[in-house]
Amino acid sequence: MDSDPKIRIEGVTKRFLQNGRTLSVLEDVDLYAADGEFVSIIGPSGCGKSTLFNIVAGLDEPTAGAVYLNGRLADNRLGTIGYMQQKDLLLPWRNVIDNAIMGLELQGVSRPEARARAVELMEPFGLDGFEQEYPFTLSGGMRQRASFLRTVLADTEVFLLDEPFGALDALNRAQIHTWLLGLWESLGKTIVLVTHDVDEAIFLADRVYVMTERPGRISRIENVGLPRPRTLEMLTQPAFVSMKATLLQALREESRPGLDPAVGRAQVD
Amino acid sequence: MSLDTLKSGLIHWSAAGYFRVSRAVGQWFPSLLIVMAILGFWEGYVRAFDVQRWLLPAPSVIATTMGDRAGMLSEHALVTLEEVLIGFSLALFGGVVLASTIALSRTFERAIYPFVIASPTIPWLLVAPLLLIWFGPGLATKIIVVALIAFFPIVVTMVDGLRSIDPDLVSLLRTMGASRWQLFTKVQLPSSLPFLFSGIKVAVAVSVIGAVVGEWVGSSEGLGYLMVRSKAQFLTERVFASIVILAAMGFGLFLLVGLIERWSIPWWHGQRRARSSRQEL
Amino acid sequence: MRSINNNLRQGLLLGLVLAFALLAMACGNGDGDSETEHVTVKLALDWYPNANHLGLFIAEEKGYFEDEALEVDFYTPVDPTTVLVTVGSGEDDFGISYQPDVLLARAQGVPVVSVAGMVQHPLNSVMALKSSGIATPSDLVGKKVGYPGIPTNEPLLDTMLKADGVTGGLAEVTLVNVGFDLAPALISGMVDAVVGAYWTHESILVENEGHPVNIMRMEEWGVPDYYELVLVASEDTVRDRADVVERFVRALRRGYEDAIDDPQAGVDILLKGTEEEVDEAIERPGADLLAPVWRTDKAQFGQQDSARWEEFTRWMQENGLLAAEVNAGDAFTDRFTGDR
Repeated sequence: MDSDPKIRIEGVTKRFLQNGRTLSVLEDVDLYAADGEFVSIIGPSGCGKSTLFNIVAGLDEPTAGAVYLNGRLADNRLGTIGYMQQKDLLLPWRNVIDNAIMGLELQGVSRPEARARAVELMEPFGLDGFEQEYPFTLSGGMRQRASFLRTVLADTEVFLLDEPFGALDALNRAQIHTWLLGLWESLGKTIVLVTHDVDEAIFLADRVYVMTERPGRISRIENVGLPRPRTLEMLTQPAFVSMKATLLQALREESRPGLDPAVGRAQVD
Repeated sequence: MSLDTLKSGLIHWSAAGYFRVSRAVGQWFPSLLIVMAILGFWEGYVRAFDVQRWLLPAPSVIATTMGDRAGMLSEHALVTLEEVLIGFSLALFGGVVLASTIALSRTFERAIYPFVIASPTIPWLLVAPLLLIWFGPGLATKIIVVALIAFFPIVVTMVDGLRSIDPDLVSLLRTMGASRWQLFTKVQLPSSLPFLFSGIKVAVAVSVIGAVVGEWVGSSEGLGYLMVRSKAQFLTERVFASIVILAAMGFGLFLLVGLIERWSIPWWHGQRRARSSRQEL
Repeated sequence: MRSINNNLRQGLLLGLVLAFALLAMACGNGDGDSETEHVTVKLALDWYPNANHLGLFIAEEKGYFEDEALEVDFYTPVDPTTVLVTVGSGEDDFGISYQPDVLLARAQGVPVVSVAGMVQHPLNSVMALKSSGIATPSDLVGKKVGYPGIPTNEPLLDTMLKADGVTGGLAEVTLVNVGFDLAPALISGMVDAVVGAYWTHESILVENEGHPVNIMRMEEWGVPDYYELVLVASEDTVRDRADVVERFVRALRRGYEDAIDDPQAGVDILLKGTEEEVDEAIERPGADLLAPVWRTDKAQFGQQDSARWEEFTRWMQENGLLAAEVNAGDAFTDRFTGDR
């Protein structure tokens, strides 16, 4: 149906049994992304973002709730949802182009054909000339781009990006944001991004979800409403700044007062 | 191509070769110096104290023997080398297959791994005579002894290598739809290569020992046999000559493995070099 | 204050060192202030203790060595082929070895001398299962003969074959190196016959396993009658410590004369001395077989004949075994086993 969002997460709950105690990581999480939409999720550390992504990607199953793709229950979703992580996780023994075609190769596409497809995208990804290089010779930014190329080439309907630019410095990040938006617009994919960085969450997305601390649930949804294409000037404009203030406030409310959310609890992410 | 281009090409090629050789020499120079010192001391000691040749031959005597009996020594050396190579290949093939099965199947691992761990403690010198009875005095017995000794380091290092993959990598590839088999062939096997190579280096060295042990028990040729026979004839310099050749054989094989390693896993060394150079900054 | 402590410490240390030195000297000269100096000698055996060492164990048990103010420390080297090297270099005082090996060693300059012929005739033999029908050397043509990898066996077999009319000699048989496990190789059928087996040991072993054997004696097939086991010492020992050698050989002779008289009583002593580690089923019959072989023509244990030494040396030379000229007369001495 046209009205069905590309991906919908409904009432997803995740509880673990650990040392005889029940650990509740996610509690009744509801979120969705429409076809071609860019959605971001922010939340304090330890709120269960990675667990959520693991469930959506199919690595894990929810204790309650379900994941829907194109309106239908996505039972065997492992392999159908693109997942890019903070670590580039490029295979050190493969050169750039052979790393890029990994997804296609696993799908059964022949290597020559897969390589042909990859070659076309080398230039837009800023990797042309580096096809035969091994990952250890590349800079951090290039490795992330190569990892993203791998995700894109696998051509899944949805991309989950788990803090993919966390390891990059501010300058690199600004550049990569602009590049990413350009690529997204040309590809038209549905993207769900998880990040610590509020600027990044607002700049890239159409809507921002705020997650609470563990047990994680959605506490707030913000429509970004800024025009596209986004420009770096917008970062300092009043609309942007006020939204940022709102979201930061929401985040602070979710963290327990006086306690640094990063300290003192087991990371079940 | 003009003569000038040819000339400049030749100069560059020989210059590059010269630098490569001199760098190699520079790398080996300290060890060479030590070896020379030891040989010099040995020679001096034998001469000064008039040590009998049948008790401890001087390096000069050993060298002369090696020159005089080069034909005989190389004949026996080739036999031993054959045993080493065939036995080692068996161990490599069997070891890789066994390690893979252990990594792929928990039940198999629990059943077989204890035997693998126990294998190096078995005194093969004493078991070898039994092998002699079962497999006869031909090449087969020696090859089996070599294979049994070389087997352990290969299996153990490869199992470690197969188990050493990043769990995040596994998760990622699973989200890309990788099957168990694809994970094994595309991730576990390639990432186990550096480990396997260190096991191979050990295996190659002990293969030489294994071949000699096999020959001691019952053989009509090979350097191990020659050592026993020469000892019975009080030709101690031949015993030492055999030892020198065996050491060279082990060393040469080790270097060869190193070269093959550099060729098959260039990313491993590049990665290590890059990491260490970054630390220096 | 501290300097006094240091001096005290140094004084004590010096005193301790002196005390130890005195103690050591006292111990060194302690026992036996008799006329003959009590001496400890090391004897390297040719193999693990067996019936061939009966006289040795008897001499030890009955105190013959003690009578000569000797303490004998005998052992089996981990590698028995080193006996002549350790004796030649002076590390061992005496050793039990083989006549051919003594000549081989002397050809290479190892200064060892045979001071007694312990076993007067060859024990080495060619052995085949009775069931194989191999009864004389010529029956070996075209067959596989196992040997323990010791080179001397090759010309021995060659001589035996030629003596039985096989002109091609060794070329007509296939020699197979089976290490020291000759009996299993024969019984399992890996080889048709073995050479290097003692007719007083391996033969019994095989027959005990239920396989009767045919034996071909070396001296019956053209090989000069050589001494299987000899007692060796270095040239230096013979020259500088002749009295020790004399005492040792004298005690040993008494032991072997007892062994010749009553081999079975000797086996009892052997069993006791080795704490039952020897195979009684082999050593008892073996002892009976060996007793006559210890006997000499002159009823003088260990006596050696220069004619026999010459003949055997010549045989070794003819078969290309000796790298250099060896003077047979220098290889042995009968000083210690001559007339009493």
